[in-house]
Amino acid sequence: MATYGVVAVGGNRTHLESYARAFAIDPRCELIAVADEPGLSEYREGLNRLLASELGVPYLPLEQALARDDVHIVCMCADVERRGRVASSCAAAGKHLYLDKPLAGSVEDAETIAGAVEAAGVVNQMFTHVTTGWAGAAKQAIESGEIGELRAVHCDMLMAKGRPGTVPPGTVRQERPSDGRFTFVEAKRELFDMGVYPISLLTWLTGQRVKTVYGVTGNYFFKEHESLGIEDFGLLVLTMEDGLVASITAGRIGATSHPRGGQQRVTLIGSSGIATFSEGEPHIEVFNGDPPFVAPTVHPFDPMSMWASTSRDVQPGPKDRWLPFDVTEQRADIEAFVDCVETGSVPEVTARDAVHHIEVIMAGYKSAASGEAVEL
Amino acid sequence: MTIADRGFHYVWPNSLGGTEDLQRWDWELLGSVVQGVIDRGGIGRPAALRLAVHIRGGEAEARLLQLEVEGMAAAWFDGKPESTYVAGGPGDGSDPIPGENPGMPTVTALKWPSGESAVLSVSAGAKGPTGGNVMLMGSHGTVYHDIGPSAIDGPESRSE
Repeated sequence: MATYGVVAVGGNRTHLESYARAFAIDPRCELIAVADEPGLSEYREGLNRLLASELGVPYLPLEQALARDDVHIVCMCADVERRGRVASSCAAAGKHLYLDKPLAGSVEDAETIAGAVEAAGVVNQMFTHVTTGWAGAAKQAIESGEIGELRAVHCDMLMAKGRPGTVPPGTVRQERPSDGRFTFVEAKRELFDMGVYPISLLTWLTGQRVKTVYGVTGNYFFKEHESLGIEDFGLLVLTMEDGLVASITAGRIGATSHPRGGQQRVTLIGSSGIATFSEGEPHIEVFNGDPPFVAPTVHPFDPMSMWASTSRDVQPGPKDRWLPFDVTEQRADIEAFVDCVETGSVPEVTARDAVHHIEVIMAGYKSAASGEAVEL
Repeated sequence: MTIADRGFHYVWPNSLGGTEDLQRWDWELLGSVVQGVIDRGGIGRPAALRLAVHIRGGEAEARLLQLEVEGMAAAWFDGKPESTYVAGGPGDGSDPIPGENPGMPTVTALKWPSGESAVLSVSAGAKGPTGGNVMLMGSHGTVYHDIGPSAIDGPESRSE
């Protein structure tokens, strides 16, 4: 019998599609229900109910789900704009929280969540890449002294999805400070949504906070981002609190622009040299007469191939030419979280850590808008 | 041959004979082959460059390398950037043994009038092999290159 009852907040076309299934296959967990707030748009509630149906569990009002004694964990994937309110109410109900990334759409909302989980004393973790094998190897290289005194860290998260080359010629992005809107059907703000991975990896690897942020954003690849007024690429140059320098790139570069799912990499520079750790290394390359990978058909409601539930309708051929020795499954992060719930230990990346990630991202937008570095 | 001479050799292990072949590698050659890809429309419009390189050497070599890399970026983006932001650099590092430790990497963000951007990390140190990576993202394709150990590093850092 499973030890922990889990309620999943959100639905299809959110990361709950994969998170909920990862909880469901963990023998320590039992998926009790999908739930969410009342009064949602028909679109969102319909997708929530669809996921509940696919998972074979009921769809419940959030308040009712939180009142149940057999619910111990909430996996929270509410729309970014609602996260402060929803996560806080889950914490107040005494439920341990597995939180989607990024934590929230504003520093204020992120602070609200961090304060609520701390006040409730619940175990809380945000999804990141720190539980992957390659991130662990990078951490070990730093801690073992293999690269000497750490001087610089450069992290990349560039998702290879979507059909690129459609941005109107002559597009020059003029960034604006965040308007607080992050949920769109066709695309995402990529510095926000992808940038949280390298920022969280950087702060986890170094154990330091960011002091100075300089940002640039662009519309380089996709008409969808350009038409929504959101960026498809961002870069940040960062100075850490002890003077270490760092940089990140984050974005979406197109389905055919990488041999696998995208560039997920960290390069460390120390007094003993340089070392790179990547999702796809070490790997073998295969050349044969099989047809090459082609970009999937563009789904009208998911042109960036963000969600498994829509991608399966336009299933692309496999990318099987470039094969890593080892791949960390996404469920490893959830298993690490359940480990922490079991032992009462503190996860590697908590809501409090994630507040700082939002501070850095928002400073990045502010810097990209002004052309000036921002001090935190 | 040194970096300042615009060229250094890339060492490849010879898997057949156990001896090393020295194959020419330099920024000019890299720039040229990538320019060929750009010219034939292989990646669409060059949009963003990510480059990190660390060489065995001192501050002088790092400064020259910085110029080399910025020149290459300007060629690929067909002009000079309109804005430059720099973090780090040799002046920022602690150097307990003069000449032993050239200091912090220089991280430079560049932006061009037509929106393109680059983030470059250039550093030099007395230890470890030359290495790094280059990623040039275009509107519909990307060029990747890994910079490997160099002959100028000396035999102790070469592949076995």
